[in-house]
Amino acid sequence: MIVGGRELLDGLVKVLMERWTVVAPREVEGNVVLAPLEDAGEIVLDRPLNSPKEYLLPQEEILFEYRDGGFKAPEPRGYAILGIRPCEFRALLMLKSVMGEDPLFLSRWNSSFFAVQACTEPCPSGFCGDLGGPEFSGIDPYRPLGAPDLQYYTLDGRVFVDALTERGKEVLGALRDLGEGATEEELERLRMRISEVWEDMKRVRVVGIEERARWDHPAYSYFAERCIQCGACNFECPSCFCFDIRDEDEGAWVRVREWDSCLLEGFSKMALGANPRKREEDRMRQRILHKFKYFKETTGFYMCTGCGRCLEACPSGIDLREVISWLWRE
Amino acid sequence: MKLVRTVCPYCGVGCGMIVKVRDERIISVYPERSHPSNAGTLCIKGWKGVRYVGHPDRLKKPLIRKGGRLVEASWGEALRTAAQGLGNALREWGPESIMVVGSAKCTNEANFLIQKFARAVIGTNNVDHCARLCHAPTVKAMFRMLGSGAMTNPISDIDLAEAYFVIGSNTTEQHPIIGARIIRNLDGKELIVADPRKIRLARLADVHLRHRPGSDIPLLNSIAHVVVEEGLVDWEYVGRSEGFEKLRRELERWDPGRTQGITGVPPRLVEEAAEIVAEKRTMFFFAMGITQHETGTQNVAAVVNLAVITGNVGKPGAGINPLRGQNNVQGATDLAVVPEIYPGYATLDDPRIGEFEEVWGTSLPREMGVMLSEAFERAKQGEIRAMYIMGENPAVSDPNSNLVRMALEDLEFLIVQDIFPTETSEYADVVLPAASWAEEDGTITSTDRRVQRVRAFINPPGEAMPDWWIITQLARTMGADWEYNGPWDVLSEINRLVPQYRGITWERLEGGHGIHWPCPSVDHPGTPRLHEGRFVRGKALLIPPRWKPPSAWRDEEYPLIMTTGRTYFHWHTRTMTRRVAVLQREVPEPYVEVSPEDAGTYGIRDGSRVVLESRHGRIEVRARVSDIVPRGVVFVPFHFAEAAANALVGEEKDPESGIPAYKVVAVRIGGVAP
Ligand code: SF4
Ligand code: SF4
Repeated sequence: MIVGGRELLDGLVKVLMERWTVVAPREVEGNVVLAPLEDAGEIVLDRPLNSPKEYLLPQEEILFEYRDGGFKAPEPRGYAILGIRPCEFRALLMLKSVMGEDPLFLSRWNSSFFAVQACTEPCPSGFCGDLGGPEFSGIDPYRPLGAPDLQYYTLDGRVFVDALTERGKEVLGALRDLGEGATEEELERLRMRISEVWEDMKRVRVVGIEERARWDHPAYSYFAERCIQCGACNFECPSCFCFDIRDEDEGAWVRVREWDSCLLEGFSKMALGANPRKREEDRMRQRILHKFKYFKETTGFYMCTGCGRCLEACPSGIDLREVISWLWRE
Repeated sequence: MKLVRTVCPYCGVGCGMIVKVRDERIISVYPERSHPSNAGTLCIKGWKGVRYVGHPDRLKKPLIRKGGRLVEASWGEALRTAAQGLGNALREWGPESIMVVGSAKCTNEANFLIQKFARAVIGTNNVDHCARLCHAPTVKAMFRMLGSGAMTNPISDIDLAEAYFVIGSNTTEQHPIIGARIIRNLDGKELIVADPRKIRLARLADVHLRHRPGSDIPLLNSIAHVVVEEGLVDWEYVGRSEGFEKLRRELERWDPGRTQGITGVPPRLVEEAAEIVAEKRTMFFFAMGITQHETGTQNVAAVVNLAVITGNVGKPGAGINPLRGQNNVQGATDLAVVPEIYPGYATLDDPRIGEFEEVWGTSLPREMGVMLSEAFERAKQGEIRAMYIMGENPAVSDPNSNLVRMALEDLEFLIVQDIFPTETSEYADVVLPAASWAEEDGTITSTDRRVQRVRAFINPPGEAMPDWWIITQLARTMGADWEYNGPWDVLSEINRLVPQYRGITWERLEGGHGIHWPCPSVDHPGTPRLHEGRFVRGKALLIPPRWKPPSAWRDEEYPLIMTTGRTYFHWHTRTMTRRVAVLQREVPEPYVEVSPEDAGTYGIRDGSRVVLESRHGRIEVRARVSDIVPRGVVFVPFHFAEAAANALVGEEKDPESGIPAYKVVAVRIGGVAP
């Protein structure tokens, strides 16, 4: 681990920019957006309004096109993604466990570099306490699935950068001049802060919920009634992977893939109109049980890492933390 | 790659969004966190709906009719043909033979120019737009009673209210982010919904007043009756208004027991509603369910009365909020794309018209022009000979669409300016390809009077051009000396001529989230809330509303009432939304909602095809059996040309505002196929 001032962070971006397009939180007229940087100094420390999912699975993308009698598929390249939080990185690992054999996804994933920003302040909407906590540690429960290349912390105006992979160590090596080793006292302060934040994030318990999440729970219809079907909880969720595919005539024929939402009626409607999830509450149940029961039972992981993005993006204020506590109560 | 901050092109909520663009393609859309109206949220139209702009169907070259067919032409030729066509009509039949139609989807700048074109270049007040079909009664009644016809509160006031009274607005479908903001506030607050249909908000309401279509005045009057009888009147507000005595006398006869016979609403619910609005800081919301009636203007008056006597105007979290549908219908109205006023609500006898004459260097018409809702009848009769339609599709959106199509056929000359070919452009002599929302800089005015900047971030396809440019060129081809180098020049003319917009300059709109009009000077912060401390009119005017039962009421021959409206997933005539895969997937075809009781009577099953007939037309649609509609009422969305609900709507109109009675049409089931 090395410690430095803001120059260390800027330096990191500069080093990465030599090999990647760097995606990081930056300011856009009063908003913080996770987007490609043009200049190393643009990176900010605030949590951006969008999740990192689109850099591996874009909102909409062309899978291939048919032109002049032949198929042509793009060969996308990944990004160096900075400033995403541990919960979001874990969610991307979930995403990978589903999408990992998709050639476009895989080609992005394999050529991406991840630098996670550990949380040294509690976040208002997250609930990662039971799901790994505010840093991606060596003994992280998600570790067997992968690790970010770097992790950085900020505390009292200082930046701490740590490498978790070989590639990460290489990059860190190039930054030696911009920082120094951390003192025992600094490390202690950092550990203290992380455990305080962790305590704070334990407001919602998740472990064991799969046993309580019943098929006929009243919560589904209660929340479905409030859902206006904007799709935002699915779109903003870094682990939701559902998509729709269509063919379009854009001069050449192109096959397009775009984010979809399980809360929409058409998502599960079949060709002749039959729909196993016709009612709104059926679809709400699917969203909740898929995340907290089915996925857990088949993979051992929840398909939710407590990032809180869905509740931030919900116009009706549907709060997943409330849904979970209700499942516990009854 | 660029990131552009702009505003959603769909509804009047005016949600802020950030668009990521690469290679002339929208890559991503993000809800803007810092925007006060949507605060990091969007509805599905915002998330998904904006991709229509890149659709291959876009109009890319001007078209002119040659030998009965529309063929591609150069801009020069198209503009000359357009100018000639209008010039001929002008010479042969005079300015009154030409009708100009603006669009609530276009910018303030485009709309200001189109009405200036009608008035200063053609010399007629025959200019109108779809507000005629939505909120003309609102503007009329509220302007007269309060001195301003717009929403009195900013959207963010929803968080400050203690209660909501929603009548004739399916808010979660038509103004989704406003509807959802009400939902997120419901804990500990009261919601009253008056609607014949069991819409989402009605299901969440503390009090659902399920009144019969067309009985809004009896319902609202009976609530006001209880307020007066139980001594719940806010006397301070009565002191700030005139006409209370007359109103009180009128209200005497509307006791809830008696009105139940008309409305079908039990007195107990009326009393509950009265107590809530009298005791809590209440925001009133209404939309087409109030206005699209023969008594539309009077309906609005009944809402205003109730809000005023309960003291629910001009306070944080209390006010009268007509929800404007289109992203810029508020702006198009402010800038007078209507025949009865000049920009900034200058009536036809207002001396301010002299100022317009001075700045525009010509004398201007002062006679009331033709309204959109009469334009096609007039065209049929040969009084209107030529039309210039920008960004509207009356062949589907206007009532009695069969007549509209015949009238379009009969026109001597028709110019259509749009982004896609439409049902209306099929009748055109000249089609002018316009830039879309993504390609045109300008300003729009959201429903809460928030004037905001929209930004061009891709190039128009082919030779499509921004609306302001097209109108300017057409005016110049017709001999006008217009000089505008961009929409900013148009806005500065608006700043000069429209008092409400005086301080809302191009520079000020660059950052931030817009400015609420009225904004009288460049150092004025704008007015998020109207009537604070004092009504714009001075004293509010209370008007005893006159009610008459709908003339198209059900009878033996036509035993059902059809009411029309929109669905969440589509927009108007679907020119945009049917080109967005996920929206089209959700609602791929027209339908009619039928109650389970009526379904039983007629042998209709969910998914049956039924024929629906009125005195004016017939359509064939698939049935959705649902208890959202009460027995005796059917609902049809008007989006679909192949089953145009508007073909069934007749000639009935509100005499005061000209709005067609879309909400009450007597129909019958003319046949059922399984
Ligand atoms: S379900 Fe919500 S909290 Fe969980 S990972 Fe998805 S967005 Fe985050
Ligand atoms: S509520 Fe209206 S403005 Fe907001 S995203 Fe939806 S359509 Fe667009």
